[in-house]
Amino acid sequence: MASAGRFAGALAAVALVEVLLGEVLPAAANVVELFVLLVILTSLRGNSLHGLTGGLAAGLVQDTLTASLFGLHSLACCVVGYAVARASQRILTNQRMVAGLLIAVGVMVHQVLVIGLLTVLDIADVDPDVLVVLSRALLTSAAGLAYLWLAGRLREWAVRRRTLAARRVRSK
Amino acid sequence: MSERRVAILFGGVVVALLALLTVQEPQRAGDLALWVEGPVKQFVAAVGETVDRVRRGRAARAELERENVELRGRLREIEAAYAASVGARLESDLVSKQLRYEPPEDADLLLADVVYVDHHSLNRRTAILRLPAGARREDWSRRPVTTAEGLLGRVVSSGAGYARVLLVTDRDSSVGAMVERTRRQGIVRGVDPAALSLMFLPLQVDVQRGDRVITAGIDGFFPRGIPIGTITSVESGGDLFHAIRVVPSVDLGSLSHAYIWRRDPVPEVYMDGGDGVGR
Repeated sequence: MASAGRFAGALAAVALVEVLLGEVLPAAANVVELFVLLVILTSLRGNSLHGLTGGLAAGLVQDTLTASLFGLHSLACCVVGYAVARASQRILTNQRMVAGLLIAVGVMVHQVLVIGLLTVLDIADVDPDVLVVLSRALLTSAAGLAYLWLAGRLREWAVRRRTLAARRVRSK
Repeated sequence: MSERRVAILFGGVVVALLALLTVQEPQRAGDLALWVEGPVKQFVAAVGETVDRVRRGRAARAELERENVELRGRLREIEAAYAASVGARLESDLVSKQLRYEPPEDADLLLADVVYVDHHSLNRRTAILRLPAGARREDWSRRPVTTAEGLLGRVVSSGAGYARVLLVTDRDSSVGAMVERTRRQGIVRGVDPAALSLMFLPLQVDVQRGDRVITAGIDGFFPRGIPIGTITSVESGGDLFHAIRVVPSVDLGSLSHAYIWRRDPVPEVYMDGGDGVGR
């Protein structure tokens, strides 16, 4: 329940950032796939059900915020979340390089799915640029690694602070 | 929740989302459905065709097997008949030897070009043959003339490399004939350009429409067994005899070559009664 609440909060934050970036810096909003990053980070630590529901929820929110066909991002995020969750059950994702690689692959899979669905359904003239897809995957992966590093540092800081507080109580 | 159930749930969610997407784009969804439906229909049609072909093949095979059994039976019958005929031939040869009987020689035929045909004339229905270079000096009078289909007539005069043939349909032509089925003999005469008449067959004789008429070999000119024609009608022509109409075997409207038989006819002295017998 707590994890669901944390995920909902993170989702709201990502949505807010996306909306703000879309208003202020539209070009920057497309550089990093924040929704996909959220889905992958959630799936790395949860089981396949978490990956599936997280991907579905994030995709639905992204579909609501974007003007494309409703369900497009939901499907892509759902597949990515489930696949990453299943992969994380089989490989060790504690190492940052592995996590970064998973994020990059997840973003690329998401992009391929979105572009593929747009092409098959003939919704818009899509001209897929491999460099753009790769750069988006790399930047999202870098952002994910930065988040993981920051989260690790914060966790260490919190642990150290808790330890210091406990020593003080014991010395008194 | 077990991983299997989550996988099923994942599949359901993906299908539902795909349905949601296609509902929003019905035209494109229809195209995609056709894209999937086409090969499926082709596959189903191909399977149906293959099954049908196999079924037809089995039916044809059963039919062939049945036919094969029937043909084997007929082959056995023919082999038995052939063996019987060989036996009869041997026996006949033996008897002929003892009786000093000489069977007729095999036919010796001369191929000649047909250069003139008049088979519609009321007076005289004749054909003229051009003889080969090596046979122009011989006298071919009274020799039978046939084609691959049957009897054409007989030579009435020859000379200067040509031979005139009196056609079997001429009013003056008469051929000793018999019904092949019953061996009953009569005389065939020309009636009109396309028909012959088989005469002197008594009313009590069995003769039917469709019976083949062949030469009887009793007229001194023609050997036995040459096809003359087929009976097309049988009527009671008078008090004693049938009126039988025969269509010639030879199509006189498409003559190109004919065979003259190198066969000596019965000497005229016997035919005319010049030997004193009967006088």
